[in-house]
Amino acid sequence: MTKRPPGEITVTAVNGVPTRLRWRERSYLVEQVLSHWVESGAWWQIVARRVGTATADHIPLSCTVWRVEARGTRGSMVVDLAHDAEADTWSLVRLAD
Amino acid sequence: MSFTHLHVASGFSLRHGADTPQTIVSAAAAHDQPAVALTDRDSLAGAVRFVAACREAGIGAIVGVDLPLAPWTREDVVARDRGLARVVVLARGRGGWAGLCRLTSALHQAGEENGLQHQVFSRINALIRDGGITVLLGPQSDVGAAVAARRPDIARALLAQWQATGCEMVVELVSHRSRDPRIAASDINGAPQRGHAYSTALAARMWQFATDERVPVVLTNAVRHVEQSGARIVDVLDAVRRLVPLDARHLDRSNAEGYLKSTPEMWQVAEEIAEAAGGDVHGFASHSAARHLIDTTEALASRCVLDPIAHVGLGEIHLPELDVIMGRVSAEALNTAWDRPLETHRASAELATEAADADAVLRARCEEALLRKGFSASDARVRERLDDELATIAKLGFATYFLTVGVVVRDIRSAGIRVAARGSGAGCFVNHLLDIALINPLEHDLLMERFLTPLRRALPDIDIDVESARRLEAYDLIFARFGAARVASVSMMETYRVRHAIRDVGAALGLPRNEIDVFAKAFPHIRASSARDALRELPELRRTGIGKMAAAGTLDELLTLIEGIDRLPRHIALHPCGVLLSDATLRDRTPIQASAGDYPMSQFDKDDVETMGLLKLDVLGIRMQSAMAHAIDEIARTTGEVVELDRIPFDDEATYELIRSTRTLGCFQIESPGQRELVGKFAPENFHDIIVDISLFRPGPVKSDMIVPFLRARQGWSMPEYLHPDLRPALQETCGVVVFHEQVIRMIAVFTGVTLAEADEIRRSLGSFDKQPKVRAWFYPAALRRGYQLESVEAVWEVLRAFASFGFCKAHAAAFAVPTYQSAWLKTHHTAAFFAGVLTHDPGMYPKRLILDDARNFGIPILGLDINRSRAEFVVDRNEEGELGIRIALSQVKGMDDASLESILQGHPFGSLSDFWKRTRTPRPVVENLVLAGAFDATHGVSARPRRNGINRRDLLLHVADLDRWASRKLAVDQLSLDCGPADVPLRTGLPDMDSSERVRAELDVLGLDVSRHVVDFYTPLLDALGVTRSRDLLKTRSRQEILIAGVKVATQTPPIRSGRRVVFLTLDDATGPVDAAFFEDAQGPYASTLFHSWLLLVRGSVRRAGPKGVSITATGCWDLAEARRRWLAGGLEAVQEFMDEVPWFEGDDAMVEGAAASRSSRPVMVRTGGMSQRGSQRVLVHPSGFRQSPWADLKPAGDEVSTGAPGKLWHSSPGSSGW
Repeated sequence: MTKRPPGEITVTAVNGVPTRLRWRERSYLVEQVLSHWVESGAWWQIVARRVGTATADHIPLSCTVWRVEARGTRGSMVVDLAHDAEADTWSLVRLAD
Repeated sequence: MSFTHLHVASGFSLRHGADTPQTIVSAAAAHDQPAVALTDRDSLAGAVRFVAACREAGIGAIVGVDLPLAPWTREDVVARDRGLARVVVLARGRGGWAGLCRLTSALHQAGEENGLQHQVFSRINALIRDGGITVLLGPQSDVGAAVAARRPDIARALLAQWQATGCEMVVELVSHRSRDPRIAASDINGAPQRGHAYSTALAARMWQFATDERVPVVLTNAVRHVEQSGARIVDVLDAVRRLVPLDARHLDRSNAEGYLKSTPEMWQVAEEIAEAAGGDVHGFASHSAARHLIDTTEALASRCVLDPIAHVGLGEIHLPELDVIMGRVSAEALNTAWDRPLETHRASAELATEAADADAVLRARCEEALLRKGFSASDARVRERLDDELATIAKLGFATYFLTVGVVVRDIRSAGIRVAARGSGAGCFVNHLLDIALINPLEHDLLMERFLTPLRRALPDIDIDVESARRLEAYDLIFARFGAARVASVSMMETYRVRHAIRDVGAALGLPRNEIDVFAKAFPHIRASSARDALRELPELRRTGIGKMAAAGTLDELLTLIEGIDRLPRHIALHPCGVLLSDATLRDRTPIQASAGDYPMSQFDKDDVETMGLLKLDVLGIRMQSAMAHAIDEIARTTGEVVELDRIPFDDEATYELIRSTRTLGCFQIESPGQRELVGKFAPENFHDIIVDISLFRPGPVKSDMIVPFLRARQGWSMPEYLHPDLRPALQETCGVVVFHEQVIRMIAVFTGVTLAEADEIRRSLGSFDKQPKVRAWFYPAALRRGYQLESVEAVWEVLRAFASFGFCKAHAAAFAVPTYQSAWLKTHHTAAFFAGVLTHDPGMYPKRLILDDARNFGIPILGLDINRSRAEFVVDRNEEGELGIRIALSQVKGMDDASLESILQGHPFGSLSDFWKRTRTPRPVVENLVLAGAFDATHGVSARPRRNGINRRDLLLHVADLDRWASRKLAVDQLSLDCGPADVPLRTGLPDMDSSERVRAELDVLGLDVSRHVVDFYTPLLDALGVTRSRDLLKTRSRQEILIAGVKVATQTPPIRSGRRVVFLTLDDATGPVDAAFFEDAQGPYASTLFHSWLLLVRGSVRRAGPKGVSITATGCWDLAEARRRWLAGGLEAVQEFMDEVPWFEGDDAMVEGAAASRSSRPVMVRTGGMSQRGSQRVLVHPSGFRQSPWADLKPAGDEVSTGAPGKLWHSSPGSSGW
């Protein structure tokens, strides 16, 4: 995925709903879930690329995106967190202060 | 808590749904949901199997249709694919089902009309008497679109229109948790994505709207795939439908949430929508609101569950009314418009009277026929048989059925079309009296019980053979008699095969076109689910680059997609034979749409039709019947003799002599290599022998257990052995060997004392593996009670068990024996006319050029193409000596179209080429083809042998060029010119004539026939040099001798074979006759590619002799003959030897097929055997009786494109006839 704010992100989730996250060595607490939705990944790009070669890339079929208000020591921010259920990975998609 | 899905699309929503109805039902049952709906787009084609699957799974079946609201033409479908508003319509009760059928029919009929919309619904609603339909207005509907656009005023107006129709309305909420565009304009990849109708926010707004308007709401999930992973298939289908490669812009779905969710998952969705709607919905707090939503959904669902029998009418039999059969109803009454309600309800008293009348009419017809056919009315046997059969028919209430078929056959025959019934119906005496079947069952000892018994209340199956060329005329006659309200044809779903799946998936993924092409063409015509296995097992694929990629695992995802599309319907097509006949309720029970040729077609296929209890008549177009009709016409035309083929007696010795000679190419049923071998050993002497011969040609373990003992006893090598003296009457006709189903029936009846009808039931049970133990448990005591010894009982049981599924129905064989005999009779006594018929209609397995050569070998003069004497078809013509010969047909000419043909036939005779040019509008390439094939030789005196003086074909070609140039100049320049035009007479140009090989080449190219010389003649020097054995000399070879054979390939077959390995049978034509060879699996590998793709072959093999006329060849190698000749011309015999010594590199695979029948089921089971590694194992199909078959038997071999020099496809390739 391109154009992502840099840095690894670790998310704690309860029943799939994110409650805590850790980014750029700072911890944040999810105060409110503003909304959530599910998006599609362009899975076919990988299949076409993979014919005849062996690549380990993975594009998920589906991602659940959580738009949350998260508060840390420096104040709060609104972020979009994307969860790939198949690979069980989280990534930070968008950031709005 | 429970939940029922009310909006579900299966693969019968063409290129929209990803799963079969069965999968949907299984998933719903696994979720413990009490019922599930099937609501396919525009179609009820999946409904019957869906209802049957629900019944079996024990859950309720709800059926609906997803219909478009706007005018709907073919162009619209592609252009407006995304924009069409849709609603789902659910059926309630019997009236609802009838309404759905009529609604779906109306949709397809009104396709071109405007304003389909709500008018359809209002008319339909008026037609429904009990039960009705419910309309779901969801996010895809016009109302939903208005709500999405934030125009509640428009939404209200549209809703009012809907409510004016009087149908029950509900609002449908769907949330796939799609992104609301107000929240995020682009997706996680940064790509702008269209907002989608299935967002939670929109669902909430629709709920609010429905509350305000006081319309009930239900929750569905607009399901297109059962598992989430099915979303990939759905995407591919969307891309295929739109004919574009996959791209986020073209996706119909925004995510993969449209799957068959479990009940807790749906509750969660309900709660999310309720929460988004705020606490104001119906005044409930959100949790209670969610519960209310689910409750309303379940309430509607329970009202919509259909009873398979009471509502859908599974198993109900509706036969045409007696008045209609007797022609007492007017044409207008028969052809009422689709939407005018027919008075279909008939009181039971009326039905009872009609049944009695029908019985009386049937008896009267039979009695009259007895007299007419010369039966003695006092013959007790005849009387008893007739009374028995009529009593059974009366008890079952099927008199109308027989009268229906009888009148259909009579109408067809009166129109001069050859017609005959096939199948077990030949065993029914009533059928014979009604002239439906030509055979007299009393004469051939056939059983009615095999066809119809009072123990099975299902309609019997009668198939009718008619002349292939006039099949549509037969259809028209049926429609004329019964009317469009009571007749429909049957459909069939074409499903994906590997080639199509590869093309569609490849295109969707954007793979390069030429790569996809190569990939697709490499596969034989197999099911897409077998792609992986084919790559692993078939030698011709394994060695290719693709096969190696598959072995390395880099094609896995692609193959998963390809296999995922398998079993999905691609499109609905007209079944070529099935016709439904019914009373006036037809359109209440099945949806109808138009088809090719404008015949109204049911959306149900032949299995659905049987489940529904509809009367289906198969009207098969048989090319042999057309060939025989043509032959009869030619005999009359050339000699004046009128041949009544259906009246010739079955005892002509000369005909049997021909059959025994095995020179039976072109004859019905007995021309294949296997049959010729059998006939050679069997030496049939009479009609009964033909019946036995046809029955012996079966797959399975029968060869050693049936054919060999029979032939031995028959030829006098051993005494016939009878399992028990009591069985002698039944088995005498086949020397003690069990061959026919009828014999199995008699054996059971004799040994256990049951009636023949009961015995037939037992026989059918024996055919399924899980019922066999039960039958055994009954059989033993029953037989022992009758006093038979245990030894006999055991012996008989073993035979019964093995033969029940592999015996053959004697009535069926008898029906087939008639055209077999008739074709052989024609070949014996009217050889030229016979060949004219066979060449014109091409009924058999062999290419025309072989048939032509056979005619030559019979001494029939072959008369070349002649512009003045040739007709559209092959005809009989006299040569200079006055002998009857065969004139080559104009329709054989490459590029010949109907218009040109017509103008040629109208313009006869032509004095010259220029005369021809001026008076017909034949396109230049076709004229050139005519010249090249010699059509103008006679007119211009071109001689058969190349000459130095005189006009030749090349001169004529130049003449054509002149004529053409002049004609175009005339058109271009419309003014006086000093040119006087082209010469009317072609000039001698001095060009050399075409030599004989060029002539043959041209003939093959233009006609597909080598008329003047046999193609192999040109190879004679090479064949002599190599010492190749010719067909005429095969009988001189000895067993185990290693020989070479060569010739033109005329057929390859891959029939099922007992040991489970694939065998390929090859037939070559070497100008002296056909030569047959068999390639077993170990020999195939390196040569498979040459075998399938080359046209001229050189084959090495070893001889196996069996009796004075039996020769078979086991092949050990094959090479392209043309290539061998090239090498020979360049480097002599040594070069050829070198060529033959090059064994193509081949990855040996010697996995033995072991009979590992791991699971025994009632259908053949696919078993992996031979080794631990998945990749090294082979698959074998195991039949219930233990018969093992390679899964690649019964498939068309690969290689439809001609690779080596044959102009076009000039040979036959097929699964071949079972039985070898």
